[in-house]
Amino acid sequence: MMTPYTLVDWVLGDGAGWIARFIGAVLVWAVPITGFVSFVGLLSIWLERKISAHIQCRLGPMEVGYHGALQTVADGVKLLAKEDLVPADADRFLFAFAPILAFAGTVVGFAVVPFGPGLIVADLDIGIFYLAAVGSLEAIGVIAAGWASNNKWSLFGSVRAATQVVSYEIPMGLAFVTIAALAGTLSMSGIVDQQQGWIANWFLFRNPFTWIAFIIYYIAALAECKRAPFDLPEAESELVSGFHTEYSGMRFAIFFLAEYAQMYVVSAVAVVLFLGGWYSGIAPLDAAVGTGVAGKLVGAGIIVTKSFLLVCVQMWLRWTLPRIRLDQMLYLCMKILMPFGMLTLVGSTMWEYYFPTPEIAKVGGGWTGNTVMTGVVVAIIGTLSLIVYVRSVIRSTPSLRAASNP
Amino acid sequence: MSLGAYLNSIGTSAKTIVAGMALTFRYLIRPSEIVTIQYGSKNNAPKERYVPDRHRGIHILETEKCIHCHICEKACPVDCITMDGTRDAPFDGAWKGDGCFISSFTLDLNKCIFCNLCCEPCPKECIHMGMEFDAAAYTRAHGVKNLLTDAPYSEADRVREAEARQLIEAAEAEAKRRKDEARKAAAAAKAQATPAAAPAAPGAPAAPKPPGLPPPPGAVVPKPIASPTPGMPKPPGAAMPPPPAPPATAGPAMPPPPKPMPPMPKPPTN
Ligand code: SF4
Ligand code: SF4
Repeated sequence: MMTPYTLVDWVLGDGAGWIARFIGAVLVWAVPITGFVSFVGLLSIWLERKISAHIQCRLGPMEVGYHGALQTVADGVKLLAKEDLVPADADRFLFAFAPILAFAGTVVGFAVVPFGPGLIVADLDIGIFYLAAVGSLEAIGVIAAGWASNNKWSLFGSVRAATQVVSYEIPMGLAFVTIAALAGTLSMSGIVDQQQGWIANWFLFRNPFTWIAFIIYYIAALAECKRAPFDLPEAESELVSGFHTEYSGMRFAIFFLAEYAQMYVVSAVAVVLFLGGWYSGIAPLDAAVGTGVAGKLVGAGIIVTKSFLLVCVQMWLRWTLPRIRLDQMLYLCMKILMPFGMLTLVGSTMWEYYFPTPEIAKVGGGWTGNTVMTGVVVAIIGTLSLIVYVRSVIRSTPSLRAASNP
Repeated sequence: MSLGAYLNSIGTSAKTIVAGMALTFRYLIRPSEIVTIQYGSKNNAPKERYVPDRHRGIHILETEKCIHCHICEKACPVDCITMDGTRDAPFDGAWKGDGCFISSFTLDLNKCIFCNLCCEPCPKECIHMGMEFDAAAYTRAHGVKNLLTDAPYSEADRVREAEARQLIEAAEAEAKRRKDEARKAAAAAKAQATPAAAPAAPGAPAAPKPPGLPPPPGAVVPKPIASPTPGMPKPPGAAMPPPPAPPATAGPAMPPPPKPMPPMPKPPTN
């Protein structure tokens, strides 16, 4: 049996009774997690505004705080002070309950998201399974919100959300299973532990199929967060504001916070599953910081940074891609992601069977076949990106364009 | 859909997504692409950057070219230009125009419709629509601009102009007296030469000169204006000179403590 691997155990020691553990969990976890969720919300809303602004040649918020850093706080105060409106014919109970359900559905995801070695609320043996289960709880809140609002746009939005859940859950599950098959465990910290060592040990580089699994997971995660190009449930240009059309003030703020917290959760899960979790990918560095307090802090910094990078990629995607239609969404999930997910699962397990990763590479990290393959894949991806980038530069610069096709 | 087309469509979408993301990334990391202008902030860009060339902003007067012809004043459809001065003789605290001496040139921005009709007929092309659009003021009185000083019209301006009016009247009376004397002397000389034609005076140049109409001796004769109403607008932007520096001529010597004056919101016009 694995040693208990949570901060509460670390603080209280092994002998504590369940009441002490409960109180300890509340104090050590519930309060900081809620604080962290708010922090994630503030930071990512600011990031979103800045990234969207710069992509669109704007400046974004500039007045409140340094480059508008406190704008979100000011907006939060404004939302708090707003009138609490409930539409006349709304289902009052459900209307008030839906934001809480959505928010809770997101926050429970944080239970298995590690913040560093041992910094995990509950290191469940079935961590990924739990995530797949509660990940869709938010959708229930969204559906309830649309139904309770008694507004056709809201209802359309929530029906779309329901459709979306059915379609993205399956590819996402397949991506989970691919990694679980490689790691041989469903526990989050167990999965991270296997990616110790050099960057080549990250599951992303374990075999060629995990690349596909990562992309599939990321697309499905975008859909789970209801982010563009999958923001069908809120589709401003079609459904006013979708499921939260009737929401204002603090209830709207809670939906908003839930969306951004969800973005962090899915990004952190991607980091855990594919990008080495709290390991930096540089074996000597990880060995140097150890697993003490310093190791925990450095690990937390690494995993939060990686997750925020992925959150930024989500925003970058949002401000690049247009929203797709519902049928295109279903087509993508059912006819593209699902077959490829199955291919990935089969291919990756076959690869592991025929080219098993040597034990030494698994724990210590050495220059193995993985490293070579990683280099090749990185080189291919890098070259392709460079080509695409250079082409886009040439196309968007009139003088170069004229020179390249006379 | 054949397998080839299926894979092709996936490839195309992957390629286009990467191309699109490369494009947006380029904008994301290039601050020089930003077009936002933070109006009123300390990082404000110079107005030339965001005001178009042919912008019709607050007027600029090139005082040293002005011949005090009142044409702009007459052209203005809402009567927001007022001016005072003389061509006859310099007086204390006058701004030196082109052969004229100006004591006041104000523009009521509360009334102005920024129609450019004052600038077009100006024979010397010395009044321009400027780049400045920021005409906000706390009171109506502050909305009146003194084009001579490029500052809001002030109480001191009003006092000074009232004094200047008296100086102008004195100067004009003096000039008229001199002219009459000269004419009399000329008539006398003429009468001596040809006594028969002595009473020729009534045909001579009119003695009381309404200031502004015939040019004083030595002044540049204004070009005749084809039509005082605006014709085809000439491209103002192209001919726009840089805004002139504040008049370098002797500023108004501040008059002695003002005598109580009737509160006149506008300087008297001729
Ligand atoms: S712009 Fe038009 S309204 Fe303004 S002063 Fe000139 S003529 Fe008058
Ligand atoms: S029309 Fe031109 S020259 Fe004549 S008074 Fe006006 S500004 Fe001066």
